[in-house]
Amino acid sequence: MAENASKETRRETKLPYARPVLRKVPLRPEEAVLGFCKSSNAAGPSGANCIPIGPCNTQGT
Amino acid sequence: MDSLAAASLTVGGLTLAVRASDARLRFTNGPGSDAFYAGGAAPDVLLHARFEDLDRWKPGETVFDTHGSWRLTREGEVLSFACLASHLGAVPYKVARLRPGDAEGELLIHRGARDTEAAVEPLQFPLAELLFIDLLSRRGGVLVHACGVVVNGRGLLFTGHSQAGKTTTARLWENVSGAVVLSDDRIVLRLEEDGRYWMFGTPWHGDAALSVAERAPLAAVFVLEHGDRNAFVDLSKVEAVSSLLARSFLPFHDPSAMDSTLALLEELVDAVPCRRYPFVPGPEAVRCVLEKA
Repeated sequence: MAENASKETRRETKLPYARPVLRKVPLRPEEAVLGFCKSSNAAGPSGANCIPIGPCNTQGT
Repeated sequence: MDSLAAASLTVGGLTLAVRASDARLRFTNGPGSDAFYAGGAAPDVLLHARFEDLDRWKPGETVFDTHGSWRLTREGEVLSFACLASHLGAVPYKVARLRPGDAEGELLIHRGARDTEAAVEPLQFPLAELLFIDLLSRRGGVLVHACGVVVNGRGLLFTGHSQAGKTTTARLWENVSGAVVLSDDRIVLRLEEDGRYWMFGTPWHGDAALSVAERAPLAAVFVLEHGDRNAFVDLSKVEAVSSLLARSFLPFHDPSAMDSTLALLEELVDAVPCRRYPFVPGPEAVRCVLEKA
């Protein structure tokens, strides 16, 4: 009896089926992986405080 | 500028230090306020630096290649973050080598045709950020592409891709009474021992050059985008996590570190309100946030 009541409660509280929804999240791979220098006033081979190496050809973001 | 035999950088409560193993090697500090480079704290990671002819250096198996500013390789357990510049081709100008989770490693600096008298900025872009991304993922933190503002002790995070309005937002808040802009481009978020999420300034600023070595408890997250009016749009949990994830700098090279970062963001959006914020640049955009946050 108690078992039947419990099954009934579970049935009542069960959430209705919701179809999965696929959402696309726009990514910016070149930003996400730090593939490019941020700007000339940040660090980086083109930075104003760049000492070790020459001009940067990877300006980005 | 003074040159140094050791350098350290503290971001998000974590310290990365570099010590010269070669007497000819001298360092200078990088961008941002000197407070980031004050040192003092025991380093969480220490790199022993020396000159090396990196044109003879043999990278191991490639783990990840940006085909731009850096490449990650692996030899056994040792990871090598190789920094690249187009004029040197495949020869890195600098390589940081360490085992994941280790407190010490080495930093090899290409001797090349260098004037060895000149001081080196050892943690120059992108190395410091790469090493901090790795370190943060092991210490309950993440580096986010965001502008961070502290108002009345409350941290407001404005996250966005490039051109979304981070620098514009920083400039709008820069002169607001009682507001401090921690960074106009990069913010560290960390779960601290008090159970709260904290927002930290970083030295890696954007065009507004705003960078403050302070922190505040995170009170609200706004996902920035340009709009035709100021509006707040509630995000579902999935939307909030994915929005933050897409605007974070992630340890893609390490599946367990990615798992930790995902778990951190999932818990963060349960604890802190996260909304999309289409806005129109102007004082009204600030007023709307002050009323909402």
